[in-house]
Amino acid sequence: MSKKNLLELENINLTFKKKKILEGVSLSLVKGKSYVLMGPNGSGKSSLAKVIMGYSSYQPKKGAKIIFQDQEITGLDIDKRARLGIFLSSQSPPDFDGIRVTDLLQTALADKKSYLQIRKEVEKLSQELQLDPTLIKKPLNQAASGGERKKLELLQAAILDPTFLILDEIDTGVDVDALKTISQFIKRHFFKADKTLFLITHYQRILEYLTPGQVLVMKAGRIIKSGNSSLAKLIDKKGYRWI
Amino acid sequence: MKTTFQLAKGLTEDNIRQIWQRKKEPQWMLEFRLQALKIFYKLPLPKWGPNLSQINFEDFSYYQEVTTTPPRSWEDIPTEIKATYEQLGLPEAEQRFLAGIATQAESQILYKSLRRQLQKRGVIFLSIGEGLKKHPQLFRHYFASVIPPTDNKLAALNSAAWSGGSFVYVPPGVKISQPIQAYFLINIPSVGQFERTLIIVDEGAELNYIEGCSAPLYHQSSLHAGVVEVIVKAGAKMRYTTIQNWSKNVYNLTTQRAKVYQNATMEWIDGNVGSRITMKYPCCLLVGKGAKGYVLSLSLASRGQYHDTGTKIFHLAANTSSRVISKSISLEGGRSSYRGLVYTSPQAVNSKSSVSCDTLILDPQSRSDTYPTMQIKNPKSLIRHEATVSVLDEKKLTYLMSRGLSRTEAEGLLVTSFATPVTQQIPLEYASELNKLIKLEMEASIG
Repeated sequence: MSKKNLLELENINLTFKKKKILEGVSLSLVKGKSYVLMGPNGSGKSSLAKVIMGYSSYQPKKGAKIIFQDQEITGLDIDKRARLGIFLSSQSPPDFDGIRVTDLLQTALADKKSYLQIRKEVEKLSQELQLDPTLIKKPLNQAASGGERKKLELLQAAILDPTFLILDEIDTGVDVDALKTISQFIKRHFFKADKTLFLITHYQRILEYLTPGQVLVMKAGRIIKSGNSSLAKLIDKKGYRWI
Repeated sequence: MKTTFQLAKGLTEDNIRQIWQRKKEPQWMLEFRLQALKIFYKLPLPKWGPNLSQINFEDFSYYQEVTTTPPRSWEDIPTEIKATYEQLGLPEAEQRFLAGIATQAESQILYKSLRRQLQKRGVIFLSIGEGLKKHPQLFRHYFASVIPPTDNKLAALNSAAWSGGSFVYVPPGVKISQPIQAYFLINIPSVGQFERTLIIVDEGAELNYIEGCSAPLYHQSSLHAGVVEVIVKAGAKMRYTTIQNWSKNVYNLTTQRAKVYQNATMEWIDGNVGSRITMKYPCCLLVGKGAKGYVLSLSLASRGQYHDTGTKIFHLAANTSSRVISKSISLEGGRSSYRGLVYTSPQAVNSKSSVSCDTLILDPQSRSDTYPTMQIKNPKSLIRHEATVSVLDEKKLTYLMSRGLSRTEAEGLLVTSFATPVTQQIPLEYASELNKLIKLEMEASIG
């Protein structure tokens, strides 16, 4: 295996109640590159992301192999994968009662950063994201709009500083201004040589601001096409049916 | 700490007489104590909640005299307790004090200026024994006026055998904004078995009083039956905070009650973490028009622990209001019950009460129950009761773990956030100690 590869997926099969969700997905992702995964609703995009992240209810069938930075992580718990540098933004992050984003980050980074350091970074990044300054003082996601939730996911990603970022529909339910802010933030923080970005989206919209290195198309649990950014434009015009 | 005198075991008239003699109290107190003893033997044990029949009341010594110098050696403190002190990050001076080995002098210096300030404003802040000696009339006027010995068997026991505790009087209009920590200020070596606290907040005055701390109290004796009486005069405001982490052999059976006059406010904040059995129902008697009572409580019951706690609110005058928030956490087979009473008398028109009990159960072995009682004697009052029972939300746990938190860390964060409505009401350093303590309990339960 090439040292250049960040992630290798081999033969990922996933079934839910006898329904096949993922069918023999194999994929290699290169370090420092950005990817977009597109595909119709229910094609298995988010499931694939959860398999990579290691959600306990998204364990692939036997015979699957997941290798991250030359280490096999198949079967490894979700928190251990997070500590290895994998981050998956949540499509619908839960509302917390008494936990602020700073509390979460402080616990996650207890051995790396002080609370004051974290709070400073959170304040700075929330300005960049044009978040209401009172929001970060409230429990995470409490009384937050859809767009604010997405921004809070990005804020966490920027502070946790993972090597591999999966952003799952970070552009859904976001207005035009927020989309612009979000795209700029992604470009500034995650389009870097030491990071690999894996963007999952339905829409071409975000790609007006971000140009991915490679576009992958998923349909019915398989990755059926791959190409450069012009493929995304084609899909926008013609839909998925022609593939 | 060195014991210089220890009374023979048993609850006899002669023993009670000896306590009185050694404490050089006035004659009326002897009569009071002996009367209470008779009542103790007449009254039955509580018929609800935990079974107390295994307590052999004859097997305790009801009075000790101790000297704080020379201190007990640090080496004598069990390592388990020392380790917890360290994990809680307490300063060493505080650790030594809590372990009962600090000398009088150490804490005297720390709190000297505060004591002087309070004295200047006419505030009386004494151990209860000194209170009786130095302010006999004031003392006698209020003592046992809120909780008479006839109230319950354990209050009777306390009334017969009490020693230790504090006596506080805040004159009219004097507002003490800074929270007052009882142990450090009054310098009681450690909380007594049968301590008694009497607090009078006179008209328009304010007091914020804190008893206990989240560090485990090292105690050899396993029976604690305290009495706390509070009088909040018209327009006054009082907050009484208890944070207690008794060692796990202790029966904590404490009666706490406040009499709240016109437009006065009483707040009980009660955090119970330790003990084997805790039975405690902070109570507000809202006797004056417009009186307000608040009770915020948090209970954490782990392996081998049974907490039967709750609140009693008596609306006895018009326009009174009360709010109760009870949070309990059960884990590792621990059991916690909320037992509450809201009463509104025929006079208590336009009264409002709202009670909410939230329970978190961390595993299937643990148990939680809610026993609310409401007695409404007039139609013109508004009473609300809500109860929720929840388990840790798996979706939230997974979310936190996807950010790199271990399962234990994620659970700890969720549990402490459940307790936030209580912990945010107590001073920061106590809140952070309490949060650490919750996490320690959870880690211990996993290990």
